[in-house]
Amino acid sequence: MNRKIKSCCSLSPRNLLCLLLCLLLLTGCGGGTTDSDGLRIGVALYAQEDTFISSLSQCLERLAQEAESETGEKITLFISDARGNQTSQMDQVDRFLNRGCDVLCVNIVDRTAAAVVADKAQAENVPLIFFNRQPVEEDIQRWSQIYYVGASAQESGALQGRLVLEAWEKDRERLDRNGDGILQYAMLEGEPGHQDALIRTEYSVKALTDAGVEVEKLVNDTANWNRSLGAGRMSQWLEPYGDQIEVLFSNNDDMALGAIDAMRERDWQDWPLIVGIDGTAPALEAMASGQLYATVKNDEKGQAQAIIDLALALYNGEDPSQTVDLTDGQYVWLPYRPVTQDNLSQFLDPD
Amino acid sequence: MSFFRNLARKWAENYRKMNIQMVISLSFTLVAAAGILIMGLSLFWRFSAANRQSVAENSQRILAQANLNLDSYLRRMMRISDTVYYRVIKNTDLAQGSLTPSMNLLYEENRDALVSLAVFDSRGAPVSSVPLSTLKPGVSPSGEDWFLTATRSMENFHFSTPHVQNLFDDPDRPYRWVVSLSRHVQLTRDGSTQGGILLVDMSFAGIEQVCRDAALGDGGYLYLIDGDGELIYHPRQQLIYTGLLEENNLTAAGYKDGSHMEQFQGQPRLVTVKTVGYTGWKLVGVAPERSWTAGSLQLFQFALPLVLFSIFLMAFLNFHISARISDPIRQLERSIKELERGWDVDIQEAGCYEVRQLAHAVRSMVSTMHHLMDDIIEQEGQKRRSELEVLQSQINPHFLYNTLDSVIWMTESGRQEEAVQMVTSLARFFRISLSKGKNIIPLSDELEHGRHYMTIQEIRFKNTFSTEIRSLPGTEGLYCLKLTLQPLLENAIYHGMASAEGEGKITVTAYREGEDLLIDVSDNGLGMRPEVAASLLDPSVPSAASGSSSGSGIGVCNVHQRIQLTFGEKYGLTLFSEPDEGTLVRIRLPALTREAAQLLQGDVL
Amino acid sequence: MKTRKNDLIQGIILVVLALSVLLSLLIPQLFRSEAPPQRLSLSVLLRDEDSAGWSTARQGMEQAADELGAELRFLTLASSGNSAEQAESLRREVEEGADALVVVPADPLSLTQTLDQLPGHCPMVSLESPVGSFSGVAAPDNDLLGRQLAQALFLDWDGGAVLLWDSSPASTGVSARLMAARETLEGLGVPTETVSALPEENVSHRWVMAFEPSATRQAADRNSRQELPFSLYGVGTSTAIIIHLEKGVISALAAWNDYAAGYLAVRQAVSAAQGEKGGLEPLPFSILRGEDIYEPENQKLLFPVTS
Repeated sequence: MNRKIKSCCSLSPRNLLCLLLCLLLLTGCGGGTTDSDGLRIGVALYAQEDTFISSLSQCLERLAQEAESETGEKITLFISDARGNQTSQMDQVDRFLNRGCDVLCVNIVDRTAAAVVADKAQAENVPLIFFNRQPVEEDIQRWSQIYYVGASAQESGALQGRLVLEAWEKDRERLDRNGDGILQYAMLEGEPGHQDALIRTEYSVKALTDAGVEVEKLVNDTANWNRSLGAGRMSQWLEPYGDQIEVLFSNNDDMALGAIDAMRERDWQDWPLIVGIDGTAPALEAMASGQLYATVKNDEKGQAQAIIDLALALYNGEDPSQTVDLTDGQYVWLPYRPVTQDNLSQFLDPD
Repeated sequence: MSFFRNLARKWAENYRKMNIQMVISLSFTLVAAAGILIMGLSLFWRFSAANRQSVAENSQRILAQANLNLDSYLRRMMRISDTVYYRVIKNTDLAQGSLTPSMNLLYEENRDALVSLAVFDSRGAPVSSVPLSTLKPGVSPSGEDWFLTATRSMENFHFSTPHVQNLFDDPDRPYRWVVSLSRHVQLTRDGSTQGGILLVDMSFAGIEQVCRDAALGDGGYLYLIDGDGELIYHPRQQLIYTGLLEENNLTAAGYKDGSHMEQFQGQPRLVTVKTVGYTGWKLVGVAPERSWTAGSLQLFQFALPLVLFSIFLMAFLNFHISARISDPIRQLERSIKELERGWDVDIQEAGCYEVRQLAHAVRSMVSTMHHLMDDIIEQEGQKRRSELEVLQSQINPHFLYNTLDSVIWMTESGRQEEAVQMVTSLARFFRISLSKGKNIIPLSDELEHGRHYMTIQEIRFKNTFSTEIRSLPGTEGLYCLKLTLQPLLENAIYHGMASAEGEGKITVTAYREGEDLLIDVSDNGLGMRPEVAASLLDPSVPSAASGSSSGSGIGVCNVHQRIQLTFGEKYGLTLFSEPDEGTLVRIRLPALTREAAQLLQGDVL
Repeated sequence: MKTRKNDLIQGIILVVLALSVLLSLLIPQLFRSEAPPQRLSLSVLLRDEDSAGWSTARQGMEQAADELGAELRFLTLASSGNSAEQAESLRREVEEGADALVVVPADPLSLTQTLDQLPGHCPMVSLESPVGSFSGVAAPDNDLLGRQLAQALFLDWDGGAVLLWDSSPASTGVSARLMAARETLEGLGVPTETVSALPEENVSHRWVMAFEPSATRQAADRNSRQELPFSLYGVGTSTAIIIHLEKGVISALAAWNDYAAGYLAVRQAVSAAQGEKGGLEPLPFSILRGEDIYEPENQKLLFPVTS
């Protein structure tokens, strides 16, 4: 009797172990959920309070909805605001990756952190689209699935310079107040260290000097892309330089509008030629009322469209170069457009 | 209560009935299980305690780190304030110079953490401010909290709770949450000093950043309160401000630094408090229960199968081991059972030392038993044989023929009286011989039997000898074994009287000696040599007297054997003989009373 | 035989122990497989072109979604107030498998009809105006709000008709506020005039009431540009509106905590999607004037902390 039991028992430890192993294996498989929930795009903005960025994000939402109704594919946008904090943005990127986003769009706060974001995306095999704030070339080239959608700062500076050049050539007498043939200008710069600020500052003036116009910088200061700071700077300059400033270059519209605010407050009479960049709605209004001379339109709608198209192409596994205009295989440059009184009406129409 | 007692009793019975293997295996298993459980539980409890301890320590460590960070942040702010005061304000005469450029420089450097730097005079009018210079219309700084507290106590820094800045007109970012650091300063104007207030507005995001980075793990979080318990930073601050969430901040303000257990909204939590230097603010770290029980739960989930599995393994092994120990015992038990039933069984000697010894002992016991049984059988056989002989002798034909022959020639020769005597004695002789089949007869009967025999023999032998048979007092009512006297008489006649010529005398005396009955049969015959005497009593020697044709045919040896078989070795015959002197045969029997005789009769015979 | 019985007992004990080992391994698995709930997918349908006006509410919604493990999809309309488009959006969302809906209805009545036609029951929480008999509305008591705002106006009133701007006639919530205000004012003897759009040129009335944030903002913008400003009484807590309130362009504002509204709406939608019953209380609101906004409690109400 015992022998029979013994023989049974000698098998069952083996059986038992097998069973246990099987169970353990099964438990390991517990996790993976696959969600084929349409295209999920994670958008990390650097600061939603930035006018351009906020209109860009609104365009993104609208265009995503339109694309959804056109293609019938479900598109979900997750938008987060880093409030100018790179650490927060990292957390947000992590959250997007954990949620299973198919494409990441990052408006990087600190350019030097782009490599970290690129590595994270690559580890999860999620295509990455940087936009508006450009990382260095090496970081974009880390992986073939990293793209940049933006507008060339160089182009914006050059266009701005050209607008001033045209004005100078057209109306030199009025502009050149002191008649010395030298263009005296004041420059309102964006955030210190910002690539776009540096490039725009340089190329706007370069457009003039390349055309042979002599220029003299009276004063310049940074105003952090900020309207009230711009106003502050301008009001500080009005005392010492007010009359002498012939042209006011501003790296963006907000600061230019701030300068306009400052002058309006002081009831300034002799306004310089003011040019900005961005083409935001308040800027266009200021142009309509003649306070702002010209601006350069930063096509937020175009950028948003490019982002959505690129994301869709990447999600569907298509070749992105068929859908968007790729430069160097990874860059999508949207052109700036100069806005003057002539074509102002085009831009004033709500699109 | 009685139910439990019944249960206990039933268990005790079951326990008694349980076989050895079950006892061993179950008790070992239970002990092992109890041991494992105790160990497991104590380890688990220890681990839980250690886990909670480590969570508390971890909280404290993280809090210490956050404290350091916050401290350095606040110090930075205080340093900025100091720098503005000592390097800018004190060195500038407002009538001649402006504070703005230097303040601008400082602001630019700390742009990430600051919202604004502003200096006001004692009435609340702005003196200098960066980055924005114009105040909002209708704003009166002198009524603000930061202004009033700074004015009240002139030597200290004052940190405010977070509030929305209401000073400058910034269309881009109109309402910003700031924490105000204000202090009283001495403004110099035209050589004379006036009172003023220096306001450093720190962006709330800076503080938020310091506190948010601290991760307390698994549902834990960190928040910051001021000395009175007002919230400065909380990860879910908006919800608390909205009234959708509650936090125990007011109570936390009362805690001393260190770890405390508290109950909030029904949940136990571990709360660690650390006071931030100078400001009186407190960092509060909250670790909900699950941050230290989660690990315990996981451990439990791991440990429980492990414990159960090891108990299972223990049980399994115990069953095997106990089987190995108890199998030989069971085998032994089975063999003994078979033995009881009477089957011839071979007992294995296997198992551990004691079991082997037992088996061995049982084995030898069995063999001894067999021998004893054989002995008994042998003895029984002998008894049967001698009984048979006695039986046979009871109707010894030869003696009958001879005596009848004698009677015939006596009758023919006219000696009727002697013939009658002879026949009478013969009849009585045979009657007592039979004694209704009894083997223990009264001594008087045995003596009578002897007298009748001697009567017959005397007649036959023409009175060549005489006999005296008597019993001494003390022998009344005693019983003795049948047919013990007569063979001796026969023996005495044929050995002793052969050469006597009328002078032969055979004396039989029965007397009591203690508990023994002695019957002496003595004759004055030839006697015999000692070896002959010995051989008479030796059963292995075919005696001339046994199977003799003249008498009962039972030999002396037979008598001796019979006596010994019946009563034991202590009794029997003893021969004393001297050649030419005579022979004495002593019969030693136990002195049997009637009751004793009946007992013996029932028992043995 | 004893041995067989023993072996049986042994076997039983071993089997019982083995089963308990297996059970103790399996039970946590079962619990774990029950535990992680499906991430709920909520669709938020707004009735404007852009979500700027709802940014605070959106923050609240996102916070709630974060905490409760839900995902939000924000949908705006191509043209403001287009209820047909909203109905279409709604239908599409339900078909795509939204677990619950949070809606700012352009036209609550037609939306109710649309919902009734849809198969299944998709729980819906609305902001601003109640829709049918569904799970609830995260909004203040519109009636009470209209009345109190009218009373605030009345405190300042010194004659002249009050212009009531019926900016979204289809939205029952907004209309409810307007009607309550009108009733109160007329009951107090104040003449009112209801228009569906502000006059092109200057507004001649000295008292204007608007009943939704976007209308309030537009009216305030107009007011700040006009030569002769009027007294504006409005609704909403967006930054632009508060700036106007601070500057005095708006005289009094009915404000409720938008963040709370968004948070509660999502929380209610999630619990409705999980099958729990229960409705929402109307949100508390307050009537604020320019000088009040820096009160600590009002600060918390009006200005969302960055978190």
